[in-house]
Amino acid sequence: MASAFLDPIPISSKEYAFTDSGNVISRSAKIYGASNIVINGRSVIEKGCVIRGDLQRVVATPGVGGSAGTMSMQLASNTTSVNAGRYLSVGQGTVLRPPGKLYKGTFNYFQMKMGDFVTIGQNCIVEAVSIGNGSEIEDDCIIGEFVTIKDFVIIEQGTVLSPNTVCPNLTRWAGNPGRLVDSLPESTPETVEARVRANYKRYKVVKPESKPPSAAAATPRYPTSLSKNA
Amino acid sequence: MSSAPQPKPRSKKEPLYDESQVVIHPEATVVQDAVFKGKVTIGKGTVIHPLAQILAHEGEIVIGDNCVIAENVHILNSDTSKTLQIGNKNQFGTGAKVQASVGNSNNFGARCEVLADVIVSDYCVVGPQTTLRSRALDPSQPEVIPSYTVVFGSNSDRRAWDASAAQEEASAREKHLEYLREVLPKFYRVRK
Repeated sequence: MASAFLDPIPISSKEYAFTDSGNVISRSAKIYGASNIVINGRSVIEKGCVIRGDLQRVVATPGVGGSAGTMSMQLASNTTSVNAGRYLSVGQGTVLRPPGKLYKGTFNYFQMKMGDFVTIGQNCIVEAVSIGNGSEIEDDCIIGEFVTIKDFVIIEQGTVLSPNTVCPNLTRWAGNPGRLVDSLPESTPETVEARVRANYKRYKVVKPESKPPSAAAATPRYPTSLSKNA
Repeated sequence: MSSAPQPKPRSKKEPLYDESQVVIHPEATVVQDAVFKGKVTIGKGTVIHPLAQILAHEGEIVIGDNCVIAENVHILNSDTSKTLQIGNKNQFGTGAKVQASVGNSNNFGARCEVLADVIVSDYCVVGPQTTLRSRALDPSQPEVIPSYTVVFGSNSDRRAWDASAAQEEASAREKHLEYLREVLPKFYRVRK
């Protein structure tokens, strides 16, 4: 159980990128179609994550002025393919991709919505259509297409949820195929929020440690003309 | 601090493996981020997502027409003596790992594993997080998985699909392919 007294996790700007809204995003995460991904702040995206924002149909480019303006606004909001709230945490190696299906004769990918305080563990594959506030998906889970996860749900480690499953509020799911195993107490929202906030505060920015020059020269991030060999 | 020569850092544009023997059909949509190794042939209309790995370590890999290969899929051939054949209209879910020859119109779920000691026929479904391995008594011959087999659950149980809604499934896959062929080139550089 996490508490406010957990050890800090040192992160350096060499491995992570920071945004003004407090997002901490690993530089080795593969984020495709970034213009279609909205993450609202104070979120952590760990190494090796894959987020697919590119599977959205590209609609007409936003018009300039005129009556097309409001139209383009609506279209622009429709093109968001991954929409997350605050305090999202995504573990290493997790794949987030929006679900797709045939709807009214045309194939389309749909938006994946996530609420606040959502925690996703390592090596998950998530194709849910919505994940509610404070839900936790533990490590190695596979969440099928068009799964709806409501608020404060716990998906235990290694669960495989079939497509189109609906997980009601305050429930616990486990197994392959995933089944409801338990319900959670009504006090869960308070504990989850406190835990997720405390966990975000564990990430402390440190200065990138100065490595010996030989090691630094072996892995140059950006080639510069000022390097020693030039 | 050692004076041993450091390996030359790999530039981002260089492929991870030797890709000189990879043959891609001009109408296939193969994203630049996919990883290939060895002798690989990709058929007409196949869509390969980024981060898919198709590694012909030893023998050849031949992929048919109109397949969809999602990200983190591993298709491996570690056997020198055989060619790994993958038929037409197969779908590979995220993180699937396939080492066996495969027929047509199969569906491999997310992070499933198909071991090298089977041969998959047509219209099979391998569920997510399952392992398809041989149950044959004679381990020297690969087991042929009959058509319309469904592998499911934590014990990787098998049952037969009655082929209901096969038409709808086929048309949905066709539309999916059309969609991906339209959308993926707008976000990625596509291999020619």
